[in-house]
Amino acid sequence: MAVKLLIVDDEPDIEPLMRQKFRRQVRDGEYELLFARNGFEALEQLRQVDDVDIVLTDINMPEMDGLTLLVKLNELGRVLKAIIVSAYGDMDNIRTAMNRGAADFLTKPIDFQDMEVTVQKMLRELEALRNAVREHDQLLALRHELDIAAQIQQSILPATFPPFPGRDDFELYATMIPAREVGGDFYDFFLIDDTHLALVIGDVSGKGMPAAIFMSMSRTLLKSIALQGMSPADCLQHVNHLLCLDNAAEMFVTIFYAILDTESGRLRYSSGGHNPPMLLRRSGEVETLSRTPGVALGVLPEAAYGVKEVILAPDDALLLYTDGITEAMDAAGNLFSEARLQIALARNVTSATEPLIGDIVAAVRVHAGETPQSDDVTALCVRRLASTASATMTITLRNDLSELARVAALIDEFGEAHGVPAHAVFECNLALDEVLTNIISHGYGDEATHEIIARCHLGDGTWRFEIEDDARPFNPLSAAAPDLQQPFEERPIGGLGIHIVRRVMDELEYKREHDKNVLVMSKQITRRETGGLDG
Amino acid sequence: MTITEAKHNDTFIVAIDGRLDASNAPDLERALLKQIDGGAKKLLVDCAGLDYISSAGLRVLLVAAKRLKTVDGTVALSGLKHTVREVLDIAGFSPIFRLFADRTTALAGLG
Repeated sequence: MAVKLLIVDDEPDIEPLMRQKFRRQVRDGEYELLFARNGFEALEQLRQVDDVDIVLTDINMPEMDGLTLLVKLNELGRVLKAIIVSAYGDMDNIRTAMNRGAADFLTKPIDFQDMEVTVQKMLRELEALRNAVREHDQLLALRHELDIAAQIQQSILPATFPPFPGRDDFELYATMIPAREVGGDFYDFFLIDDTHLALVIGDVSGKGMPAAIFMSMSRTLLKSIALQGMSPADCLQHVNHLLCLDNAAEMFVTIFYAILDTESGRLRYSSGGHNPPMLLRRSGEVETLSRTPGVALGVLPEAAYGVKEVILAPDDALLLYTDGITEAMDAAGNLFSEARLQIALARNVTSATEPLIGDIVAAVRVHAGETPQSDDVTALCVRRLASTASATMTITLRNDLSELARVAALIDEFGEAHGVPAHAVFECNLALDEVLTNIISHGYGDEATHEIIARCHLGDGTWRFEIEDDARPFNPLSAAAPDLQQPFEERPIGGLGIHIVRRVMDELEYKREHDKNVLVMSKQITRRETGGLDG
Repeated sequence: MTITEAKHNDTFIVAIDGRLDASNAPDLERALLKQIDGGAKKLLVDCAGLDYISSAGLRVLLVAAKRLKTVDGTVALSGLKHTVREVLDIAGFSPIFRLFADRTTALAGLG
């Protein structure tokens, strides 16, 4: 492309002179010559031609002189070079011109050979300058792209805490601290229905825009499928299949997905190659969830995923995290490690989840010291709270003693899920066992199968049981209390059961209703300050 | 519930693990009476693995104690977990049996 030279001079014969001297270059398409008689005309030319490379200007001209033109050129902000043409020895003007941004100067009368050399020199400088500008622009564009990626990463993550202000049965907090270069960590949480909370954490391979897009896609797919109410394993299987369908970039993502039943505390989870979360028991013990079979998503279209479950008792907390935490390195290359994470967790038994995560992040920072963060640091923590809301359970059993162990297991699970201390659960189980044993062993005169219904209700500091049977009318409370002082060889074999029930329960009531025996028994369970219940 | 039987000198040992309730108390009763009928005078019930006992289980222990009383024998219990011990206390059964912290102490104590 021709180099565009704008020659500004008020001498009328300069134009024919220049055209004569540079006719070969103009004919060969090397140069294109433009002319102006003063600064104004020069600016007008520049407005019409936006890719002038070099401006050669005289100093003394009518209307706008060369020195003023230099100032205006600077204001234009174009990538061009200005060469001043002045009388030999006019040092003051030359100095002023150089200060105003002139790149070089020529003296009159013009030595055209010198001018050619100067123009060539200017062109080389211009090329370097234009390369620099181009690289700078590319850099800006790249930074812009990374900014967008970072924005995508941040903006799709839910960031309002507490997220469910109306809920008093759990609380949660999450954070994602991106590394300098955008990574692909994400977390997510949402209610599938009123009693099922979805918890998600993931880590996309790679960095930058592709990772951000893949992350965004994984998160959206998972949420939309999860909201259909699928089990964690089925959900991961579907998401994996969809991610594999159109994965030109060969990316993959590790995902841990769990559904917490907020009523029972049952957590069902499935992992696609993600670090197993840690469970902080209210006792301060830290457990690592056992792994489920399954690989990172986006790799094998037919991959299958396993599911496991664990119970979160009230005040137990679950920490989901990415390897940006455990693999944060100090200056000597030591990893933060799971061991340090466990220690940091264990000292936060009574912390709310926000300060808990804050403490872990601080511990990671202290460990890393001056070492720059190389990976996203992401954590999500949920803690079940002992709800003041009531809970009920109905157990239907046959009149068969083999049912006793099943009933006991259900009561154990219910008690644990609602933060009833183990000792109180044991005593309630004992009482229920005695009552059911009496009904099954002595209540029926036939060999038929009968149904017994045991309803339990926990609320207002009381665990209440209502046992209903269609056995013959019998009021167990009418039995006389055994004489515990009697020498044992004289004691009757029997009659002990109801005595035990009276001792471990606080209130007992019998009624005969609709041809059924109904025994109601209750036990006081008092709430502790930590949110648990004490028996 | 699982029942494991052993013998040390003249002491017959019956170890019970798991839950002892009305559904399996008859199994324990058979095991204990078999030992007594076989001539056992010193019977040690090792409860170290016993997680739960109801009055049905207590009855079996009472039956065994009564039977041994008639032949000047004795029933000892060892290794009671505190919940099991509590049921014994509530029922007023603790004084009926010789109680030991564990099997070794019990065997030494029974001679």
